[in-house]
Amino acid sequence: MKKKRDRLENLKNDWFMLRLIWKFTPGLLIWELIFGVLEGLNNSVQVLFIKVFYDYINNNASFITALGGIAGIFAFIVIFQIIKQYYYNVTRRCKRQVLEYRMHTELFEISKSIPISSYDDTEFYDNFVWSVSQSDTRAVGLMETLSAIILSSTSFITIVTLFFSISPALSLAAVAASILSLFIQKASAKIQLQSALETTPKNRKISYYERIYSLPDTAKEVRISHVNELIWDKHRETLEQIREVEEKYLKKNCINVMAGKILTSAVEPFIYIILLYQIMISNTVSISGLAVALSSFWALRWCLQDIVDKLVKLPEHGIYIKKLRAFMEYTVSSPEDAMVPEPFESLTLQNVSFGYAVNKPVLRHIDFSIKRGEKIALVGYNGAGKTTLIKLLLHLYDPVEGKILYNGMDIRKYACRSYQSRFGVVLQDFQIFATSIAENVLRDSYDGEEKASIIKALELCTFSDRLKNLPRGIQTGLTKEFDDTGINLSGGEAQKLAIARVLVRPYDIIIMDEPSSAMDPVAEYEINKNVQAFAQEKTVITISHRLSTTRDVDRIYVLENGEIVECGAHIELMRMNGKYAEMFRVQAKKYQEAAAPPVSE
Amino acid sequence: MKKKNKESFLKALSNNFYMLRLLWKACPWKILYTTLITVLDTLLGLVNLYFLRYAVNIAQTGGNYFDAVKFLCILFLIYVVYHIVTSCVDVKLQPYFTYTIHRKMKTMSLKKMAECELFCYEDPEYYNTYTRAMAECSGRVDAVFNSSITVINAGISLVGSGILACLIDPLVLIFAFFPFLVNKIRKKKNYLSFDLDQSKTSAERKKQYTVRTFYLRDYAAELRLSNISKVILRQYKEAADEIIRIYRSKGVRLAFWELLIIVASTFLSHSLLFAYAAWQTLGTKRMLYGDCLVLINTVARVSASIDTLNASIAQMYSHSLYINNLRQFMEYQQGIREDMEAPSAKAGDISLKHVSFKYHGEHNEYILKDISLRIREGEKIAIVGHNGAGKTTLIKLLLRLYDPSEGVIELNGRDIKKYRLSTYHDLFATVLQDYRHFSMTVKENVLLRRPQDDDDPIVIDALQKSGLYNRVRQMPSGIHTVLDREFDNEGEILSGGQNQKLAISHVYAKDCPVVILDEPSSALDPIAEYEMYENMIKACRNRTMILISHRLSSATLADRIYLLENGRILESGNHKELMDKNGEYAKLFRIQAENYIKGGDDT
Repeated sequence: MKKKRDRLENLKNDWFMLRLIWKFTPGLLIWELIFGVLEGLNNSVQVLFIKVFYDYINNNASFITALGGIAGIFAFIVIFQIIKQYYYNVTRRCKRQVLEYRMHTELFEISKSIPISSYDDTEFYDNFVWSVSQSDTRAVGLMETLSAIILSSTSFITIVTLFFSISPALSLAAVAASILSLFIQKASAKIQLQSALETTPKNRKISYYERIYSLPDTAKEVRISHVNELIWDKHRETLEQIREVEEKYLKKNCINVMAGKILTSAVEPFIYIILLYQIMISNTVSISGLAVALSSFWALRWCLQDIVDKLVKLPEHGIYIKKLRAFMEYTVSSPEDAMVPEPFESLTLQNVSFGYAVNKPVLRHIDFSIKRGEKIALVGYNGAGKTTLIKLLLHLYDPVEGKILYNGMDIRKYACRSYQSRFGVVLQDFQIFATSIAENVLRDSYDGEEKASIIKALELCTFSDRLKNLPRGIQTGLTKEFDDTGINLSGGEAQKLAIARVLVRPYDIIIMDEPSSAMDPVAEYEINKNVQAFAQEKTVITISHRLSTTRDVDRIYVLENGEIVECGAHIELMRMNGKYAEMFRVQAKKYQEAAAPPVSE
Repeated sequence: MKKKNKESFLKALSNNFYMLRLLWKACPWKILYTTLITVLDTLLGLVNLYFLRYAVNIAQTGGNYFDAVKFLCILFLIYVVYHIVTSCVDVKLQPYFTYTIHRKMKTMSLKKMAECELFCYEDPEYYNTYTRAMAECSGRVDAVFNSSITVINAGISLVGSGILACLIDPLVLIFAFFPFLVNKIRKKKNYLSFDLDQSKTSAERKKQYTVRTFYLRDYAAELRLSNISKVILRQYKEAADEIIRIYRSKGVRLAFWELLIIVASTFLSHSLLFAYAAWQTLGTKRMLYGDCLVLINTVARVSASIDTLNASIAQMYSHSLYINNLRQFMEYQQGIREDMEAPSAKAGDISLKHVSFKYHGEHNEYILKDISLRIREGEKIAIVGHNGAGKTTLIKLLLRLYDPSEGVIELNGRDIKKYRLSTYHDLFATVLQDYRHFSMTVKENVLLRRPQDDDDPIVIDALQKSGLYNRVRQMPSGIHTVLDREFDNEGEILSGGQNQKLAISHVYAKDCPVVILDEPSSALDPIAEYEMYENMIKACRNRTMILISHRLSSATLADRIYLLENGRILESGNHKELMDKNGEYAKLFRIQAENYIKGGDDT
């Protein structure tokens, strides 16, 4: 019962996909179905021709008549092929490309509106990844299946009619034998599916182990340590497990396979027995009937087999399409009357608590506020919750408890995108995109208009020297992803570029999470100086391990285990002689011990 | 022209044979068994065809019906026995084949990949052609084998049905061999189709990149916080348009040639045959009615076999292109190879003599220029300098991930190329800058080798020293907990700092004379960083230590500091000497120290 409902559900998913295809490329869908019919007719005509030809011979028709028949079928094939080849090689390919493009664009739009916290939901994320990476092939697959069903059904009907006209008994027997073999196949497919289910996770392991060798990231480690032996052992172990599973299910399936094979090949002698009986003893079939009966028998076999294969595929498509549907129907409650935020005045956290998982709080009872023009710093150990706090401020996540107020208003009341656009952010794990430097800085499409501000921003980030050596300047492509003249930035250079992003446009608030961890000291020093000068009027929130970079801010918040343990200006905190002072001294110690007194300039 | 064709055919043949030889080496039984089954299957098929003639004959001449039934029953029994035997054998054999082939082929290809120069990974073109060829080699070997089996199958079927057709009218064989004429056009089509695929690779790559950008978690925050998605969608659109343009221009030509193939072969082997048969039976009335029937069936089978033969030969051509890459790679003498005869490396002084380095290729500039330095056993040295000064490259040379372009690196006065590579690597414990852990247990990640049962104390000790043990202890299975969610939904995920500590643990767990640390503390907080260096110095009391760092505070611990700039050593000496010298190092140090010194005054 439940199975039936599942199947129905899967077919509904197929229907969902068809509607989507209809929405994006109705022409493609129509053509695919028309071609199903055309191909089916083509097959039927070919079988029919055989009958007509043998009839000519049987009835001793004139040679010219026969030649006419042959010429007719040839003309038919030529016309059919002209349409077919053009469609398959040009029209279909282009339309599929269009379908893929439109489908992806729609998925991208949806994905952007989904909060980032959903990415932590494994099920959602799987659906999402699947939808983006596989849905187009599945859409094409579904159409092919449908088209094939139509093809086979069309052929089936014509051939059965033909066959029945020659030998009704045999045609019924043939249909019966085919149906029997289908049942056997069904049983066998079920076992194969179980086997596949059991081997899939193991195969995933295998491909992970093999990927380790072929990925540049891990290639170095494989060379300099003995980890390859370890991976090697695991690889073998997993392969052995797969072998056991396969053997187990093949054993289970053995009877079905046997029966299926016997039914397929042993049926031919039986057909001969019946046909010969009808020709020699009962005289109900002519010798020309023998040839036509045999060829239609095989054609029938093939059609029915194909129909069933494809019918099984339909719900199978549905299982996968479910992921797409789940993703597209994933709704996020966003306020109807979202407001556009006013220019920044203040940001306040009231008793905010947060955790990615239940019972694993990352932030606890955070109270915190920042006003326009203030510079503040968040410092603390790894895992103290600094980056998470930033993510909450940016409304990438919602607090579990407490409120975040922007200009005194809960941030959930604002339209998410326009709220976020108030902030210029350097994330700790910022990304470089495979496009020009200009667009990487703008993070928007570049049409030459903002050239001056891009160059200025890069200059502030001490990127100018590098820029000077690039013949194409800010139009230089980044990464070698698909631009062979593109350049790869080092970690420090990438960070400079990331900082330029927040300087290029006038943001109300600048947030920088470990912005200079990969930079050399000189660059770090200069950029710090430049950013300070640039952001004099602005509100700045910095996260840093290097306490030297944050000592001049208005207020420092020290986080520990998700709580704010100290807060105040550098001097106050040093006087307090608590956590901050301890951290600062540890860091400063080496410099103070080792440094000659600074040369005053 | 003809000669060239022959050559390319021979080349394709030899490439396919190469692959089959690999398969033979991996699993000869697969080849023997599958060939046997194929031959038997084809023969049974021919019996069927022969039977058609027999049936028509007795129907026409009015033979004994029961003789035919007897014959058919025997045939039926043969089928039954044959299928029972093969099904039972398959249960055992097929999983064994899959296992053996996968295992053996991968042993070969992965070993080769582990050996090949790192350069292969860093050059995208090289990476795409060769590394991919290696990665897909076990899938390809199956395809090659299947094509070969199809060739055998079609060959037998061709000979069998050819003989049958000859018995009736030898002349008709002409029709069967007409498809050969179509071959030339088919080659042109194959080329066009290959060309079409090739010309859209770069656009496909672009498309895949944009798609990836949209779903990978790494990019999610950036996409939301900026308008970069506009740029990415534009790139997607460009790529899609490009692909459509290619289909429009090249697809039409492809369609034309494909049409030509079908029309030509239909006319030659279908229309002409039927016309001939009609002429013989209806025109000249020389042929018997039953013979005409069998003839058409048989010739259909002959030309079907020829078609299959042609198609699989074309397949073998396309395999050949891939195999070529694979073969070149397999036969390529690597720059860095394990020489099993070479002596093992032992701890000692390491010296670089006038070492320069640049990547292969004409346009590449020197990354390191004329570096000479000597690291005595047990010495602690620090390498400092700006981004891109060549620090990490120096480490790669020391680890023999690359060989220097000029100059030599010596260990105990002997070129490091003259040592057995694995024993040389055993001398080092390394924390790489871009360290990635593996989706395995904590213990395995710390050891990075085959674990033993009595390794647990070593692992725990190492984790304690790196400061990660508190975290690991809280994991559900302690040091046996699997990291990452790659294939364990309960797997633990480490933060950047924890990941770095894990890498550092490996140094504590490996008993070796030299420790190399490349920016080991970039993700650590100040306290963790301080403790890390304290512990590391303690642990390395009797070991050589090479440290790369931006933070000059950590460099002060070193016996000797090398300041690199633009690939050259600018200054060297211990901290005090360099400060006294008041050069570049002193300047760098003061900039970094400035804020701390001020801080010191406050207290």
